[in-house]
Amino acid sequence: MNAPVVLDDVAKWYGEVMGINGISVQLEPGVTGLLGPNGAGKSTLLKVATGLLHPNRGRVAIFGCDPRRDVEVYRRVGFCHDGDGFYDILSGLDFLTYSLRLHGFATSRARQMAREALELAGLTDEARKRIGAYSKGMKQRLKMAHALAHNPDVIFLDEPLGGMDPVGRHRTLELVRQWGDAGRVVVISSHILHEIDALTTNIIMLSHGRLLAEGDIHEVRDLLSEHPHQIYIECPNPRGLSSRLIQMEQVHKIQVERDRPAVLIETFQPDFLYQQLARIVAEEGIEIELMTSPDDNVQAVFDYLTQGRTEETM
Amino acid sequence: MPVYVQHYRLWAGRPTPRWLRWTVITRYHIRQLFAGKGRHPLTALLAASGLINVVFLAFIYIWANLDLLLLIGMPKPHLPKINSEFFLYPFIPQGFICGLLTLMVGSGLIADDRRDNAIALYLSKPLTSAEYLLGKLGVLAFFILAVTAVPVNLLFLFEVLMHGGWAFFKAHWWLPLSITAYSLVIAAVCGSVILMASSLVKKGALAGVLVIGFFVGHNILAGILGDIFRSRRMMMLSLQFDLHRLGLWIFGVTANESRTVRHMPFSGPDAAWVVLAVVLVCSAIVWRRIRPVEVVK
Repeated sequence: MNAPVVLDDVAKWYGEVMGINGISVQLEPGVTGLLGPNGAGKSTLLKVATGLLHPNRGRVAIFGCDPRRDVEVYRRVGFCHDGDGFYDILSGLDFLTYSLRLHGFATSRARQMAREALELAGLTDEARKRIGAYSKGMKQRLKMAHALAHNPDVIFLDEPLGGMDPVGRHRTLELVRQWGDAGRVVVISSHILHEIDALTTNIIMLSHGRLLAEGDIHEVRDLLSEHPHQIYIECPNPRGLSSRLIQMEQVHKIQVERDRPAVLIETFQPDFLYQQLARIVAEEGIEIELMTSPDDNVQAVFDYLTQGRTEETM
Repeated sequence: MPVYVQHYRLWAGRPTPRWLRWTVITRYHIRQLFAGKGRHPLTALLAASGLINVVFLAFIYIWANLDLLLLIGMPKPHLPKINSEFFLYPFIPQGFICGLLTLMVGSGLIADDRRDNAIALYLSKPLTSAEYLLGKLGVLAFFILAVTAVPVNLLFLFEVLMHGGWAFFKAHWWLPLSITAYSLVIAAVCGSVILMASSLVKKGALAGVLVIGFFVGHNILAGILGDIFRSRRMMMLSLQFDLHRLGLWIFGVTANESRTVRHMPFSGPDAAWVVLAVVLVCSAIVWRRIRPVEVVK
């Protein structure tokens, strides 16, 4: 069965400047994080995927339709783009009502749906305020409301968290999670990796307009075989644990932390080492307070993938 | 197979028919125009247009009651005859009103969207670029038809009623079609020119300046070329002349009936080709300018 959104060998150039090149991805229901530094091509990819930009090469299909040819498919697509595209003289409620009228909803129904969307975005109290008087964070939330107001099946969110306060961010991420749980295709772009990390394990990584990686972050991490996996363990006796582990040939490197009772282990066979660790802990009664994988996350994977490719820090 | 929590349902109601969706844009803009700061000058223009119609209404009334006026000793007034050309006369002063309405209503239609990055807002909806433009053109057409087709057709109806009997209607039954067609031509010309200007800039006022420059400039050019080549056919380069000539043709005014037609150095179809060319060129430019995303290279 075809995925709801398919991009097949898509390329977009701005004159001689490459926006994206050779991107082939299939977007399935659930949340997908679109990651990359500034200028990586995230916004271009989203605009091409939504049909707002015409690709120079390749094919885009949403539910099997080319959005540039069959505009009816936009009834099932919501897009929160990176710039502001509002009429400042309108209130948030009027803006969303107008937008929903353009989707084909009757006025009374559009009004009701606009109210519901504003409530979801936490803008009920500001519904009748002019958009021109909204703060940056409120405008971001209005953009989110605009993207979801018509109950789309596919939602593209381009840097939706920019300008939001921590409460707004939390609320937005919670909304995004709910949409993913509801079976919608949600693509969220961001360069704040830890926020995406907390949201989904399914990612698309871009750098310089090219696809670096796509899929489950842990599977991607496992594929980076040239970089050993790190395991961080906090325990009362880190030196004792180290002396026990150093004898194992699966351990590539071990380092006792200076400022806290902890060890950092590097291995190319994490699954095997985890099994051995469990056995040692059980047999020798070693007490472990914390165990984490510091490089099995989006940031670490991104750093590994972009080493030497980008000078820009995330 | 993942299991998803389905806590939402798509709306099952019937959407606005696709072929009518552009009217949402037209209605929105008309409402905004009457709600905004520009409503007073707009109302004043519409009122001025109404006064012009009252004058023509009076002409028809006087002609219908001429015998009565002569009976009470009033001198015979020098009024234009009520024939097909008579119904073209209101278009001359209304043409000026149309120009002002075009500047007032049309200059910001696309420029404001470009300034606010709002074109993507429309084109990420189930709307094509053509429907977007149709919606914008509809705003201008509404006002232009409101000061041309509607009142002039009412004048025709008034004349039919005042004439007594069906003689006038039988002789000029096609006039309502001509009035409507000519009004649509004016709406198409004004709409395409102002939308072109509006699509080129991001400030409505600038679009207005461009249109004024276009109308003044090309008339001056027509005059200069006419002098250089000593040819009155150069008047064909003036859109106002073309529109007037086209009007005479659409209203079926012949050279025998009108001195104006006799003095026109080019025919109605010639004028129609020029007008069509202007509309097509302007439309092509607008079409190229309507992009959901502005690419800065």
